[in-house]
Amino acid sequence: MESAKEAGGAVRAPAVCSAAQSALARAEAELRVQSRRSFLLRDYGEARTLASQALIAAQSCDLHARIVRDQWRARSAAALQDLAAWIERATGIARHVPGGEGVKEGLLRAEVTLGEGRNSFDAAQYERALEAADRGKAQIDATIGSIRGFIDRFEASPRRATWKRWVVDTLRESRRLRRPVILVDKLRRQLLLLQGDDEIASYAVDLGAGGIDSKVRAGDEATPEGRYQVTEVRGPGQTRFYRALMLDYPNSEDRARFRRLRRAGRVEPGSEIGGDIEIHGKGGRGQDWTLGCVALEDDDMDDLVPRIRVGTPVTIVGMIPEGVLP
Amino acid sequence: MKRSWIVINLVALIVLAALACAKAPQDDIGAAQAEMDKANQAHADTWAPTEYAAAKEAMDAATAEIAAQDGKWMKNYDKGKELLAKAKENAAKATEVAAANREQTKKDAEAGLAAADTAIQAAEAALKTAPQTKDSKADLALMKNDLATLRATLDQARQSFSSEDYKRALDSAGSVKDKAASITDQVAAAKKKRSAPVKKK
Repeated sequence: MESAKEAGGAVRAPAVCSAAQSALARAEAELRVQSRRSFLLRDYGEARTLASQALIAAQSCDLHARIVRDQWRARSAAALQDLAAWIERATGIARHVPGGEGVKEGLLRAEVTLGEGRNSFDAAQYERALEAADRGKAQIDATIGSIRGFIDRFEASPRRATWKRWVVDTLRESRRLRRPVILVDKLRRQLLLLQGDDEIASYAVDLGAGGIDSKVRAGDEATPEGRYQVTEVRGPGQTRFYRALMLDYPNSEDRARFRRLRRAGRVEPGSEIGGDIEIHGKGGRGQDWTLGCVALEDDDMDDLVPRIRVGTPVTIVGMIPEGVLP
Repeated sequence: MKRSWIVINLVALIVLAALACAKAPQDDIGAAQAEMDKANQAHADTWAPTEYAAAKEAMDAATAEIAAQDGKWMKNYDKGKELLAKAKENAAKATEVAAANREQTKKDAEAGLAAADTAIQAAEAALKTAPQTKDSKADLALMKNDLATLRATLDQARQSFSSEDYKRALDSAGSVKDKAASITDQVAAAKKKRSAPVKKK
């Protein structure tokens, strides 16, 4: 029974272990009854039989408890592993969603619940570990729902037609002039280098910390959307961010938009339009942290920069609509 | 000789009558049940499940044995009494073990909650002194949000503690503490990054 206790028999195999406890209690009681009798009248036959039954029942209890414990252990381990995988996947796609959507909080809560489950698992509390894994899965499901909701809203943006036109025009220009162009897809956090109908390279990027919307003014830390050109190529020692491709933000369209918004009172008085937007290195952090620039990993900048020259078109869009790319 | 037989028969009759009229051990039943009630009040089924199961099975066996004797003409409650004694003993042990386990888990949970709170405070203090640069600004903002989420999660762990779910409070606090400590480490790493003035773009 001690062995079964260690395996949590009373909780994990209650029916079998109850029978063992009952047999043991009856055997002990019979033993006490007989030991109080006169030695001439003592008969330990029943006590012996009950003790044998108790032993068999206890062994059965131990076996069942161990089997059930191993099943719980396997189930909870699989559930925790599954939750960890879901958190990793959700973290990957959460990059597309700016702060304020509750996604990052949801992910962290799920991670804490995963940690709670692992603590329970380490304490051999497999039932609690499974319950925590299920709770964490519900949290991650809700978070993934928020991510999907955001992406759906983004795909239905009224700017979608504009993004499509910019991308189509940029690709047409690349085919006509036979030179590479850069497309930045803000939603997917992706920079594509294309020439005509060919994709030459694709890199992951970090964007401005100010959110997914287009840049409006200096200091909003948003990455602008529009059709730009590389105005200068800076190498190591010429920039704090390893290498940099300077862009011609603000262009005439940005200036017109800024004036329009200022007239409409949608930009604070005294605000400026900003500038110094670059594609630079020091990226690869898996989160948006720049003041509006597009950041790549240094290795990716090493790969990209030699293919670029002053005048290379750079088109930044909220997202590249489906079916637009060749 | 005839008189002797009469005496023997009379004694046998008295013994038989005594056996037939033996009463159920109500005092023993009451005493065992009282110990079982104490074990139930101590939530021994949760905090000492093995000991509680042993007590319950002995009690059930005693009840079954006494019921079986009640139906007999020749009653013998000796075994029933022994089972009741066993049930009482086991119930007392279950109560004691449950109280000890519960108290220990409560203490562990209290210590875990305090450690998690300390870890969050340490991370918050580290965050306050971290330099804000273009490199670190977004990281620090994210960490600040994370700490707010951890505080909220720690509050939930405290609620679990208040509702006497000490095991959950303990495991949850441990997880919060680990996350907070990892944020402190991240802040330290961010501090190492070269500081540069924030420039408007």
